[in-house]
Amino acid sequence: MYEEDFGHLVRQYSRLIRSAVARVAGPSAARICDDVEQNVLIALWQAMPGEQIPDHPSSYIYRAAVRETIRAVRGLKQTSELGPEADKADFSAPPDAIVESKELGRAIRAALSEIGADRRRAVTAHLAGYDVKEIMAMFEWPYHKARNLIARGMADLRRKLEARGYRD
Amino acid sequence: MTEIERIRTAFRVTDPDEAEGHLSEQQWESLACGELGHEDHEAALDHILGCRRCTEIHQSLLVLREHAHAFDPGAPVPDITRKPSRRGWVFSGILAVAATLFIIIFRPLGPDMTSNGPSAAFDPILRSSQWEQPAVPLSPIGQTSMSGIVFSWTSSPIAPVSIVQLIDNRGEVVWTSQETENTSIEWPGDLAKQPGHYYWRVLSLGGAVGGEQASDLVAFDLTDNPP
Repeated sequence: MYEEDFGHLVRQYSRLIRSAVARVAGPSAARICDDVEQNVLIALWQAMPGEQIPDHPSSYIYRAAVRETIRAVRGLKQTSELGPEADKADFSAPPDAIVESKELGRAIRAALSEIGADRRRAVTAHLAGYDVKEIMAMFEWPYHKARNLIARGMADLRRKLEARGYRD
Repeated sequence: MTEIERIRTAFRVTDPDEAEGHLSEQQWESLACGELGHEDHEAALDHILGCRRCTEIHQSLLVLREHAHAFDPGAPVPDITRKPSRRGWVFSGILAVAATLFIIIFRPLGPDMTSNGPSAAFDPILRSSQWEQPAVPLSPIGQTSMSGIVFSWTSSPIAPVSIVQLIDNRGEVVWTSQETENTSIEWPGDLAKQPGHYYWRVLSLGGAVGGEQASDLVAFDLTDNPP
């Protein structure tokens, strides 16, 4: 592979990693992802073994991209840049609301533990913010199976929350 | 806030952010390349779903996995574009026919089966008893001295057994009393009194409807020098 082609591949990966980090970076994504892309670009070049570009570097660079994505996400976490605001406990909210939310959260987790394995996984992933396409990829489920497990699992969850005193 | 946003927020607020058993870099790499064995793959997903930190990493790696193959043939093929086997189609077809027959045969017997779909209106509320008769917390409320704190309340007329819950200003339950049929109970001896803002409530047990009902949540400030 020529250096020019290799450089093109590295740039494509660094842009993709930027998108991957933006997927979880929330509102601050636009501000921080320029830096992420630049850092990843440098790191991917540095990840190559020695000065010689491998004959078939693409699978090698994919693995390097995986590592750089993990580091980028962890780096954001350490600087508290990560996550949609809704993911974080909002301690500026009225304390009653925090208490209610935590109590509901505990009830949800207890209810989930009583649901069958596939439905529990589907609902847990759904609540954690995975979309249907991601859930399909995650568990290697076809579309209809993923949709059905989410819908039926959510119905199970609602019934179990109602049994715990949470009403419509 | 919509129903699903409220549930998601509540779910994440109680997410164990620092769960044990995080995946190593090597495990992440194997997962992202589809190289984990079945059991390891299942275990990894179970951890990821229970750990917000790993969920975020995983979601970003799914983006990488989905798009990298489009410009890099050396990257793994995305899972969702892999064609299912012929055997899988046959099996799915049999399942679909069986499911259709099941619905046709049993639908008249189960009118509630479809009544709780994901779009059903749902507004979870803290267990409260606008529909029953809850206990009523009386004291402490407002500014409270550190000495001689006694929780007192009027019990529910239909559920006389009570439990007191004390909650700190971050919403964590810091003490749950034993069940009691009394209507007062002292601050627990083994819980240090720290100045600050607290909440408490009474859970009424049993009664005609069973289960437990929460009273309103009331607040008090524990101070060294109340007015």
